[in-house]
This record gives sequence, structure tokens and C-alpha cells, in this order.
Amino acid sequence: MTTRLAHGIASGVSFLFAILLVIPASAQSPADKEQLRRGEYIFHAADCYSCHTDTEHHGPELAGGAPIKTPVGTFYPPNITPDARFGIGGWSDADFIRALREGVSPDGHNFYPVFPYGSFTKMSDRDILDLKAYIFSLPAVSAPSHPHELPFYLRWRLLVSGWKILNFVEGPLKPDPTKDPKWNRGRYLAEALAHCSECHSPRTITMGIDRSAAYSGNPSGPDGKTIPNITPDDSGIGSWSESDVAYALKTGATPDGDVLGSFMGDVIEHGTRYLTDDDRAAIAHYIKSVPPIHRVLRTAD
Amino acid sequence: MKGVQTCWWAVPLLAAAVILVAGSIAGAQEKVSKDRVPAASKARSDFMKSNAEEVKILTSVAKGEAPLDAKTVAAAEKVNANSSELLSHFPAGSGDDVLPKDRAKAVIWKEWSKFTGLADNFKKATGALVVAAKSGDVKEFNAKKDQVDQACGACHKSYRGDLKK
Repeated sequence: MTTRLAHGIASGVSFLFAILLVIPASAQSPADKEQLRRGEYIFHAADCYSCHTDTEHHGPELAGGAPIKTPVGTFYPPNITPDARFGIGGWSDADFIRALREGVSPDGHNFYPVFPYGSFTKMSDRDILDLKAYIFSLPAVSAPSHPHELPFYLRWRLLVSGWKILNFVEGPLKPDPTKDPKWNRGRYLAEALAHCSECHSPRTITMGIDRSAAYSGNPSGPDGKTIPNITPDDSGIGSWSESDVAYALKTGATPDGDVLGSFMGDVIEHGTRYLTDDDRAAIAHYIKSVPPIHRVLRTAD
Repeated sequence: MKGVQTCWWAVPLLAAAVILVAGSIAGAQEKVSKDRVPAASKARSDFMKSNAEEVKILTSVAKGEAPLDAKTVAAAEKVNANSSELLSHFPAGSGDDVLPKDRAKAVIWKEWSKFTGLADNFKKATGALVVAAKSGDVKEFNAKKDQVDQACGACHKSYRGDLKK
């Protein structure tokens, strides 16, 4: 009788444990699921993955990216998994908003603007928080970030304050009431999320985006690559229709029968491929509306 | 032993088989002589450009700007035929380590089994596209065209170098 009782208690307790394990998993409200769905979409639009993951060596997702060589030094995108020690697991909502809106870390130091907060500052609070919720739902990876490799004169993050004074305009994007909703949506996607301008624009001597020549390409892009002119000039994408641009963002196929590779291949594979047709069309609509700038570059592929 | 005496030819045959298999595992391919590299490079470039002309037709259909018709099927069949010809345009010793202006990266031949795997994916994807084109089902065609584009991109991303400055 004692054995039977013991067995009974054991099964009862196991059953209770099983229920307790199951309940939290199903405790996610429809609102939480909806936020994660939105956050995942933003994650793709902003393509955090391609920089923060070592795609070349099939590294774990968001645990730190391959080095980015720039004219001012080599940067290593850090681990942004929700790991408490080596990632951003200890960050509050306010910390995350501050990082993207102001380019400042939870301990108060400036981020180098290779992290394109010059673009992410244009995101809405809700989008930033949805993105955080999604990132925090991904696996934590306990891998330390690699320090940046910078010349001695750039190692003081205080210098970034100077950069910000010259080059950084903080704040979310406000819709332009003189333009249609498709254009405004396209501008938000391109400028706040996909941050196309960060690669596709030339830089000034202080490494800010040269806004007078926005989207006209960069001969000194990441890893020394030539980034193409995507303004609607003949030297850019003038011969492309909006549907050509939207389709290229979906599959990489260009109107001349080629396919985009290199960095843009990653952007499409991990980013714009996941957008809706309407959103890609909106990006195309916006990009085809920017001032055409004549600038011939031998392009990277 | 009586067995070995009868099948004496088995030993050199087995040795030859082992050498061939080892050679293919090691990625040994026919190497092009240095003087023939510029011609091989041009032939490869012409091949890719002619392939692009067919892909243009397929892209127009996928964008809904041209009808899915016999012309589409012909273009898909041409691209599929090209996919079988593709590897013959990559003889060893014809990459950018030998001819710097060429866009075929030397790493192709270091990762030959991976490269041939991607070429095989391209072949399969274009084969499926032909089937879809013949079916007349636009949705199916678009889905398969997407996969062909991804197959093209998979090689071009890692194995095609930038236009040389």
C-alpha cells in the first residue's frame, strides 16, 4: 500500500509539474503574439541579421558579425542576443529606445555611427519596442563581442559627440503631408528601417552622410567595395521602373537579366525578401523620387 | 591463390578506379593552359550575358508585364540547357588569380564541391521552372522563378568578384 501511495503521489506531482510547464507557454496573449509578429517584420526590414551575424562562417544568429572595414577602422558588430552577460539581455525598454533614438548605450557612452542610429532614430517608439520584443524572443548566445580595431586617435568615444553635433539629427520621421501615403511609407521603410542611404550615399570628411548627394553611391563603401548609385539618373537606376526596383528587392533579379550579389544579396536574402509586395513597391516609389544625381561609379556586383 | 591468378586484371583496374575516385574527391578538373585563359574567360562572360537575355524574358513574365506563353517556355528551356553547360565554362586555372580582370573568384576551385552543388541547385531550379512554364500556371511560374533567382544569387554572392576598378 505504501508503494502504491508513493507511486500515486509521484504521478500526481509529475502531472502538476507538466501542467505548470505548459501553462506559461500558452500564457502568451494574442497581443504578445501580434507584437512579436510586428517585431519580426521590422527585424527583417531593418536587417539586423546581416550585420550582427557572421553570415560568412554560419555564426549563431545575432551573436556578433563579421568585421566591417571602413576608411576609419575595422568595426565588429556586437552580440545583440538577449544574453545577460555578453548580449543585451540586461537592457530595459528605455535602454533600447535610447540606443536606437540617440546612439547611446545603457552605461552612457556613444555608439560609433557605423551602427546606423542616424537612420534608426527615425523609427517610431512602437516600432523600436516591437523590435526589442522580437530580438528578446530569440536564443541567447553566450559569446563575447570582438572589440573594434581603430587607430589610437579614434578610440575616445567622446569624439562621437563631435560627430553627432556635425552629422546627427535625432528624432522620429514625421510624414510629409504634401506626399501620398505610399511615398511616406516608402520613405519610412527606406530611411528609418532599411537605412539604404547609409551604404548608398557618399560620406563627408567627417564620415557623415553627404545629404546633398544622397543615394548617389559610395566608392569607399564597407570592405572597400564600390556601392552603386541608386538615384533615378542614367548613371544610377534611371532606366529601372518602379516594378523593376520592387522585384529586385524581392529576388535580386535586375532588369538586365543579372542578379544582385555581394552585400545587397545579403540585404535581400535576410531583409527585403520578407517584406510585402506593397512595402517593396513603396520603397521603389520613394527611391525613384529622390533627386537624380549624375555620378558614374564602377559598381560592385 | 587461384582467384587472383584468374582475375589478374582486377588489381590494376581497381587501382585505376581508386585513383579516379580519389581524383574526383580531391576536385581535380581539367586545367586550361595559360595561353587559353583569356579565351575561356571571354567564353564564360559571353555565356553569362546570353543567359541574361533569356532571364530578362522570364523576369518580365514574373513581374506580370508579359504573358506566360510559348516564348516564356523557350526562354526557360534555354536557361535550363545553359545550366547543364555552366560547369564546362569553369576550367581550373581560369579565375582572377590567373587573369585579374576576370570576375570568377579563385576560391571557386578551392571550394569546388560546394560550387558544383550550387550549380546542381541551379540546374534543378531551372528544370522546375520549365515545368511551371509549360503548365501555364502563373503563380507556380512566379514561385519557381523566385527559386531560380535565388540559385543564381547563391553563386554570384560568394563566387563572383566586383567589376575591377
